[in-house]
Amino acid sequence: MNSRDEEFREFMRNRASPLHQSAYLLCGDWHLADDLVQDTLVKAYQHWNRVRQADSPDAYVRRILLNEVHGRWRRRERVVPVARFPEGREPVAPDATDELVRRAGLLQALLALPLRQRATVVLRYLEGMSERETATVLGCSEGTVKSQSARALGTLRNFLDRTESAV
Amino acid sequence: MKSPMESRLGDDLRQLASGQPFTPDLAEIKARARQRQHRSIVGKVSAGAGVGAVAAGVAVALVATSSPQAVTPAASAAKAPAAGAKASVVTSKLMSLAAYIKASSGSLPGNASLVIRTQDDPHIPPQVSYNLYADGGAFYGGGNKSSLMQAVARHQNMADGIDAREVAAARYAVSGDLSTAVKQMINASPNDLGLGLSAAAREKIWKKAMAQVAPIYQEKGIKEPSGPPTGQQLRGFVDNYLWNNSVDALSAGAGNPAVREGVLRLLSTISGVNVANSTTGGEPTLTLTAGSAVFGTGSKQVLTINAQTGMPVKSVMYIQGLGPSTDIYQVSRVTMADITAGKF
Repeated sequence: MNSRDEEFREFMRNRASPLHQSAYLLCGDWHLADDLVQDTLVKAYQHWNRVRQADSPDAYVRRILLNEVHGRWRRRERVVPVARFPEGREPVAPDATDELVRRAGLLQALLALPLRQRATVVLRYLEGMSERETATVLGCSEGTVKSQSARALGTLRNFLDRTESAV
Repeated sequence: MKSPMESRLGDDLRQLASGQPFTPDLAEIKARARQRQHRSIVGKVSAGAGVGAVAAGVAVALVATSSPQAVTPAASAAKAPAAGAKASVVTSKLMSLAAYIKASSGSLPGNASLVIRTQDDPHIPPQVSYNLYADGGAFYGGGNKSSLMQAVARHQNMADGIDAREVAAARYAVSGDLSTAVKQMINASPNDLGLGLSAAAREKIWKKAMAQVAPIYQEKGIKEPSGPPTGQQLRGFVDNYLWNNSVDALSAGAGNPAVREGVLRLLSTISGVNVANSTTGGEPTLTLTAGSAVFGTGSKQVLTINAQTGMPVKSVMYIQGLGPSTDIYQVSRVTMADITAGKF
């Protein structure tokens, strides 16, 4: 194995799993996430000289992943309805089932967000990136990241507040 | 500082995304990356592949095989036929420049070519890369001077052999048989064409390749070809590989006049390349456009080279559905010792 392959293998070892998790939250389907990350890594390998020379190879590859998601999403024109808690139901003492239901609703609501907002949420709150890092990956300003985050949180609040208030 | 709601969202997202192992396969990634290097292939094949083996073999029709005479580009342009096939015009411009390079080139200084490439892609921030191609075949890369020096000092040779084979094919094209050079250039990178092999061997290679790319066909909703390409379709494949590998060689061997001369001779054999006079930054240039005949519908590459030296100046790649990606080249000859010492 040459040094290029060794470097790439090391990169995959560290980054494939986080990329896979991000891909799942961006598309909502584990099998599709497999394909998206595989395609992303193919492109990263193909352009590895450029990727490794980038200021942040990780950000570069995340950007490739987002482009992949964007392309697939556009082709599938998938519409995911926003889940809602049944009207009038107030979970007083949430058990494990309640938590599963709440998280399932959260996932549906996340998938219903516009891709840019969804990507902002995944980068900021799953990956733990700063606003500046998120802006770099998304190719936008920090102000845009702030506004996209605020809008997304406004939409998702329903799946975070209601149980929180009941605990 | 994150709010409690943001912290909770992070916890929820991690919980939702946990528990599914994922182990990518490097061998498969490498195989598909090679396929993507010639990304127009699926599109081309979808137009309707020929049935049957590649029994007809590969008839690489060469536009020009005669030895060029040393003339200036300007003089050759004047001698170009006023009418006739486009390929003849292409041949005239590129072959006369190749001849001019041969006539004007002297001894080669240094022992490596430094290619500083600035990439402007709408999907990523502008990138500058320092690419050092040693005459011995080693390749070192860095994002700036210091990282290139570090790569050389640590002997981080990134060469995978493809660049060296492409450069060798270009050099062979200078004085060797051009038809052989074409095959050598195409076979410098892994491919499924099996040029120069028996019909049975080509069939075997093709079937193996089809098994690997079957998911791509399915994903794109394209019917898989029932057999290897033949005739005009095969010509398209040959031109695609020849263009891509020759342009790679022009980058890797940009500091070497013999490589540039050989690349121009090779490119002159592709009838789907348009060549036009142009001016870039006040300097006379030639603009080579490889369009749909080489890349398939909706994609093209426009390569600008210096009209006196053949040095690459700029490349703009247009892929259907994406914005143009531009590479600007700065080429110089250097010594490895100077690179190590930071004198560049």
